[in-house]
Amino acid sequence: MAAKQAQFDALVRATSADLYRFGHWLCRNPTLAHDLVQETYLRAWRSLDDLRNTAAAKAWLITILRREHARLYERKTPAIESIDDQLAPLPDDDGLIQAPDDASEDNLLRRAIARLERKYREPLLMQVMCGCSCEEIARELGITPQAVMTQLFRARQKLKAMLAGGAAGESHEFA
Amino acid sequence: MSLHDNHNVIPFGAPHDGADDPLFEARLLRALQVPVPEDLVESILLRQTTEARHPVRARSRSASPVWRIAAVFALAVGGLGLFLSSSAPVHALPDLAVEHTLTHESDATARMAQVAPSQLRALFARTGVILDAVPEAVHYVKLCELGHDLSVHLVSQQPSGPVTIYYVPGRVESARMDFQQAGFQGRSVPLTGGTLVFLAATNGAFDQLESDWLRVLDPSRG
Repeated sequence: MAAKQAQFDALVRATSADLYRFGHWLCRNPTLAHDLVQETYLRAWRSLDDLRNTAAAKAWLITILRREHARLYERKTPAIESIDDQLAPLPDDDGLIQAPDDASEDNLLRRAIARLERKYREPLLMQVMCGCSCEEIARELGITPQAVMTQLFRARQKLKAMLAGGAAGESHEFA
Repeated sequence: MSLHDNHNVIPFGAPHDGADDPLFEARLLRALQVPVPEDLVESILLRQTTEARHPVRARSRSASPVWRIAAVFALAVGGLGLFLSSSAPVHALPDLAVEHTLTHESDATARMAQVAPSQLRALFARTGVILDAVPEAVHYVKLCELGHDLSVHLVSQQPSGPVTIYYVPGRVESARMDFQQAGFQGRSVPLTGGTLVFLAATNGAFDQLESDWLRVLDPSRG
């Protein structure tokens, strides 16, 4: 029991920050993200014996988190009326806007990321934020590694195009 | 050519995932960094240890006869154990509150910066309590364990000195009472869905704080 607790403690300390950030981008709300991550680790604790390969722990946790998110929140998410409604929680009081430069550069990129379709945004988050490999993302999303590469490539292209469009008045529309 | 025109086509020679611009990648990583709550690890471990002590496991509604027999046997053994251990002491909230205040977060009473209402709401929300209004003058808030119970640990700076407050959701004491222990003046106030415990060097602010928190946590009585 003590060994299991020590393993769990180490797992939480090593992975919870990245997992919270991933959850934050899924929920767009810090409180919901905090709850989501807590639920995720509770589930992980209950089935910690199933984790044979500790190197795959982060991908395993992401799987649990995505399932929990689907179970807890996806049905409850209010219909999004407009892009502005969708983006409203991001620059709230979460410290996301920290300086004028941030508002003009990083925050513009955040808004662009939030505008990405989920099929582009999720693999990008998994890769950039969580350090998942292409194969891990493919297994998680149930698509081929080649499709993951394509989506990652497109995600970046769309972001760059949106940023260019933002500088010219954010006139692009992406589907 | 718009991006819509090149579905399923990756330009020849380009890195497959497009991560070929270090400056953009650094900017991307920076943009994705949202602030992580300071108490994230602590709150996860707190919930997990609470769960480990009080495991709640989903049971199949269509349990097999073998499992039903096992369950009946377990209930019988559990009942016997409960009977035999009924004399085991259940620590009173005042004892737990005083012990926690003396041994943990001893610097909490020195905090002078007011806690943001959003932070207070968020922490209470994690115990299942949704606050419509928020009392003023809260200078410290944290989720803590009191014995086997999860509690919201608060400190309020008052003219008479700091007052430590614990709200323990789900544990309702039998009666309101004032107490003195280990140099603290204390008050325990049962509410509809939990109990408030106040601790301070003097009890001068207890009435006002009790009224303020009753109004928030138990509006039917406040």
